[in-house]
Amino acid sequence: MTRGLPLDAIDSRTVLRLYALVVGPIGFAILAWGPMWLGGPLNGQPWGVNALTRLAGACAIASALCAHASSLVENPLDRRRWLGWFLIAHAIVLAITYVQIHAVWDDAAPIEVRWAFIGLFFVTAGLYGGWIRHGGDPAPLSHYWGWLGAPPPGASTLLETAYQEQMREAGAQEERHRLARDLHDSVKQQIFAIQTAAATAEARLDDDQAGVRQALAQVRTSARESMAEMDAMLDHLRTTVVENAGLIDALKRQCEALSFRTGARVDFHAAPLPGVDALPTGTHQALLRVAQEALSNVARHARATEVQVTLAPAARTLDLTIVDNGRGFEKDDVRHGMGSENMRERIRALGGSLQTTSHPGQGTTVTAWVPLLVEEPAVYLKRAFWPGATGTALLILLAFDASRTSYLPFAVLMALDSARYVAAWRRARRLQTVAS
Amino acid sequence: MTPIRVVLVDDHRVVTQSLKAWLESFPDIRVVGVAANGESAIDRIVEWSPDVVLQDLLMPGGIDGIETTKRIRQLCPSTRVIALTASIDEPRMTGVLRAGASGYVRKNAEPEALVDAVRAVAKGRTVIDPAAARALAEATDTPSESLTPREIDVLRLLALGQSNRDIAAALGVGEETIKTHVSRVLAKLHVDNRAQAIVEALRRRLVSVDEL
Repeated sequence: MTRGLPLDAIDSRTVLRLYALVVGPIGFAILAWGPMWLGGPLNGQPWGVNALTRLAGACAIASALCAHASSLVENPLDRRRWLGWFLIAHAIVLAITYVQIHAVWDDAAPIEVRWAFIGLFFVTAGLYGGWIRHGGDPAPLSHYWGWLGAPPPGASTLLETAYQEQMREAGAQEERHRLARDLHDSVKQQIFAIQTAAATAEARLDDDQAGVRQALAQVRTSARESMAEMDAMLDHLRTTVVENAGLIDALKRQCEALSFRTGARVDFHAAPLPGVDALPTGTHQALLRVAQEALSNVARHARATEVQVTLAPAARTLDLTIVDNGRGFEKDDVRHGMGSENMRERIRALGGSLQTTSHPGQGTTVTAWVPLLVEEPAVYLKRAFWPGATGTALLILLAFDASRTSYLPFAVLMALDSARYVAAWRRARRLQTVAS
Repeated sequence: MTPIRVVLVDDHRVVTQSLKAWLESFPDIRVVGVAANGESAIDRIVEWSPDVVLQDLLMPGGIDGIETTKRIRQLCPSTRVIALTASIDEPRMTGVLRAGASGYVRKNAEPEALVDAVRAVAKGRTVIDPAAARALAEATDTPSESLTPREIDVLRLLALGQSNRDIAAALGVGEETIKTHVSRVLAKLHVDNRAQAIVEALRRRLVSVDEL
């Protein structure tokens, strides 16, 4: 871990916007005047150099636009897509520049220049690829290395499974603490109210009929509310919520319990959900935990009067959103306890993302995105085909013309990309076999 | 007899609701204000000017019970504060007593005990829940100077919740003398107020928890 580096303070979105700001105008300049700088056909250069230069300028502009777009969208899976286009445009620019170097040096570029360029390509590909892998989360930059060979979203490696296991262990402890806190904060207060109201009824029995009736009504209300709160808490203890109906019922109970506990108006809205097959294993459980943690935080810190909980599928994701109109907090104020970190890991293990935004006096919004597993195993194979074929073609070219060593890194990247999808295909097929 | 003016501060709606009904079952107590958090209680405390504030120790967001007690005591020195809590939390308990609370009552207590506590505190006595006092006595461990036999007598009576006037009557001396004794005892024990002195008396086994 390289936590604590000054780099970690940099938000990846800021970097992307900065990139767009710098590279966009440069791309435009290359598109407009690039051929003149390099020397056009009038100077005896081949025509192709002009076209390639313009293409590089256009791609630079495109990469800047994609970078900017990815810094704007909220949904991390959309962000990943924009980052994908960004990387492709970026790679084209680098490739053309490399070819141009050859042209300018008349195929005799110094070896240092060649290797420096290949190094540059790997570093940028690794860095930007890391952003794609992490969905452009505003996470520390030091997390973004080591993208190559990472699995596509929705699938987890053995290593990640072991890590998840560890997080679960640590989370269980936190879970118990929270349960104790919640019991103390909800049911115990209700029982106090029942006891006090019963005493009131007793004390007023002789000369205050209306008072007795009111006290008894309080006893009944508190008993009913504490029952609902107990139900919500029992959901914490149950380990399996596997179907949509179960998740929706459990979320309803959580919302009801929160309104009893805080007096806030809690609205719950659930749109028709995608089938269980379309969701990564453990989605229901993870979303319920996120809701519990977020609602518990609302009860304990927010002083909200209105809370909205929404569970609805988007184009590629299932989104859970919890919005309150409470006090909010400064970014630095929030203590990242094991609880919220555990929630984040759970969602990330599903290939999704969790985000908390808040400003003092403006409430807090917690959003969890879980990717839908809409893809059949065959889709992964189809995706593996193009990078595989391109890589192979590049290798064949290299075999015929040994001077084109510059193709090697591209071929290797293509092969790795192809291998990722083949691995994903095998995993998806295995999951399907297990399911059937 | 003018009724005891009480203000309730608790973030749990059900608690303030039921407490209000319960306390108002007694003609000598009147609930003059209810607040859901420390800030709103502080905002209106001068306007309400209660005799006793019954206040939750743990409140979500904003200032906690300890800070609330401190500010109430600053704004309204004649107002006495009872910390009402659902659990024994030794550091918080010490904190709220140091902040100037005159009582510490658990929500586990019988409702009647709560009324007794309000009446006692309004009379200038100090009330600490026996179970809480036990926890506190076990946790406290600070060296302090030795007391004279007279001071021990004073501390004992003080620990039993008696006011200066009660102690003066019991020992057959003037109230001023007792005041001097009490301040000397507090200084020797390195404590700020009577509530903490009680804890110290428990620790020194001058009184037993059962006597409280």
